[in-house]
Amino acid sequence: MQEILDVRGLKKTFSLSAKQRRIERTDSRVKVALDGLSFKAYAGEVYGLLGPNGAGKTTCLRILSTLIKPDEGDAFVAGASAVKEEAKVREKIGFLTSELKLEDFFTPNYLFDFFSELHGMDEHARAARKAELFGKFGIDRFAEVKVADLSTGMKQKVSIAIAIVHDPDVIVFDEPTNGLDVITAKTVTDFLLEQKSLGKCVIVSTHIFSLVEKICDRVGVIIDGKLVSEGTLDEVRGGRSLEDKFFEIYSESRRAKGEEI
Amino acid sequence: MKGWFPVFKKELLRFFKDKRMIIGTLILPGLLIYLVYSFMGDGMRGLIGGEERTPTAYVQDLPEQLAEGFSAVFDVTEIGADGAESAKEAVKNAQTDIFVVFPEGFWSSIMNPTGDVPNVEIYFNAAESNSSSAYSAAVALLDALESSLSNRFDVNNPASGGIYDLSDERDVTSMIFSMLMPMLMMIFIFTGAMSVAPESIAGEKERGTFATLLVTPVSRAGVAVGKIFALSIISVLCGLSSFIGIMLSLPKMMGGADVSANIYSVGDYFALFGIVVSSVLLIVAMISVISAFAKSVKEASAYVTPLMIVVVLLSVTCMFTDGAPASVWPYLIPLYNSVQAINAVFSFTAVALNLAVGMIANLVYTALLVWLLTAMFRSEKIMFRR
Repeated sequence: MQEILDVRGLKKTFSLSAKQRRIERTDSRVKVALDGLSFKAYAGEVYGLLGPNGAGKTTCLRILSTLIKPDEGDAFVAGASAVKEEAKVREKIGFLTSELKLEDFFTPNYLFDFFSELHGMDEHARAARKAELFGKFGIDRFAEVKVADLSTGMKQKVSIAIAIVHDPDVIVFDEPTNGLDVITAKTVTDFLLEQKSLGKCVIVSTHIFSLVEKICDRVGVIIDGKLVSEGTLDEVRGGRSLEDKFFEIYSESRRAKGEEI
Repeated sequence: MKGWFPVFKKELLRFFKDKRMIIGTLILPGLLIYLVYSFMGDGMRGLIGGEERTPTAYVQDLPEQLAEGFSAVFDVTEIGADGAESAKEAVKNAQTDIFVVFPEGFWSSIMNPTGDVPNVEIYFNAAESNSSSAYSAAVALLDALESSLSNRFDVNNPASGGIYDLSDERDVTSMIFSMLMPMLMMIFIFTGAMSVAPESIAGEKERGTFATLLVTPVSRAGVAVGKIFALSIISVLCGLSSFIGIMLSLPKMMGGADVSANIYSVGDYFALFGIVVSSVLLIVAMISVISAFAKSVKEASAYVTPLMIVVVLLSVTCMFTDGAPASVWPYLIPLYNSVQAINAVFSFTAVALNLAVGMIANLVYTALLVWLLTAMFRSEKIMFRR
């Protein structure tokens, strides 16, 4: 398979304010979010990032999307450096996370046109892509309704359409089915599998084990900013359920740090 | 600056498709200023006697020599000594404005002074504006009489028919405009920018829509330039609404005085346009930088308020100066240069070099602020801090 994402030794620390130190119950002025994280992903696969809250999954995805920079290391998306070639990376990646919102005032139709223009698409390509994605997600029905008046599921469909408006090589979704009803969630998972079949590389960060088992080809378990386990689903599970195996890995990591679970 | 134009268009569309924004920031300010200032003008004119009204006076023992002078000012009703109490009651009840009592033999005692100074009593009601005005008029009339009795010289005697005030309409109008307009225009520009910039930058950060923009290939400089250009146009329109409101209400505010902006040439208006545009760009850039630093619209508004106070204080300075500075260096000071450049145009004291320096300085400061804003958009600590 063709390697399309190469994450090399990412390190990232955040300084903690006094308030954050109180919340985190720590005296340390810095929090290590990523501690030398490395992994690779390939075209035509779905790679799942699993980890507890605060493990560094979202930080990793934000670095991949060029929203933030690592302190050390780099990530290469289709050969473009996330540190040095941000604009190129943004052309090759489709990023969706719950922290990215759509402007309530505009309609899906306008927003699609706006973001496709930002991606430098001409009108012909834009119209074809719009017809394809709006048809796939059923957005045609509410294309002229303001985002403010859409349901959560409708908004998520519009967000996905806009995230991949430019037909990116790498699709990075953070908790793609969070808060969605079962029908919309199925639409999203079917879409991700379809993208995989089209040769795209899909990176998914999620807490939902069933979703990982359903769509991921390979999994990386991140704890405390480090990749502690990686492989195909079967390799990581080791003959057990993914959930049981995950808790075993997590418990071991806590015990190694001398913490109670 | 890749992608600035779609951002520019989106910002304009966001504003012009929102009816509430249009009403709240374009229509209401101008309309309210027109109504309030017109109302104030009418009120002031009524207070200072805009309408013709002859004050009424009850007078006891009015000397024959003063009858003509009194009748010219007052609607006089002569009464006898027995009517004094009822006359005072009439003043108290606002049935008449004043009651004047001349001492017996008043005229002969002032023509042939004997040492005792006669006392004229004027009863009035301080709680009634008409009575107070009538009292002042009576005092002025009697003071004039007293002055004429010991007249040694006159100053600008109206009887001479001379015109001593050498100012013309142009001078008076330019004085009024140069006192008022710099302050009003700067405040209108600032409030216009303040009503849209924090919402566009801090608001987008707060709602999470800014991050959506930042994961696209559009450059950070493109976002900064697109937003500042669009916000500047909107701010000019907001300021223009208030400006039209004030210009329409100006004649009423000036109590019907003949104040017209026709005295200014096309060149003056071009100069003014250049100053306004460069000032708007600078102010929008300043508010945008402050808004980018803030985490929310509320926080941005709080941070911008001190800057608003600075603008007001700088704007007031031209009320206490005669014309604009002649040297060039004040035109390098941001905001102050805009105030003085507007002042210079309205007071006909503009020097082309100074105006050009002021405008170029504003554009240079704006470019620096765009650079700073771009750097802020690149900073994860500023854009994603919680």
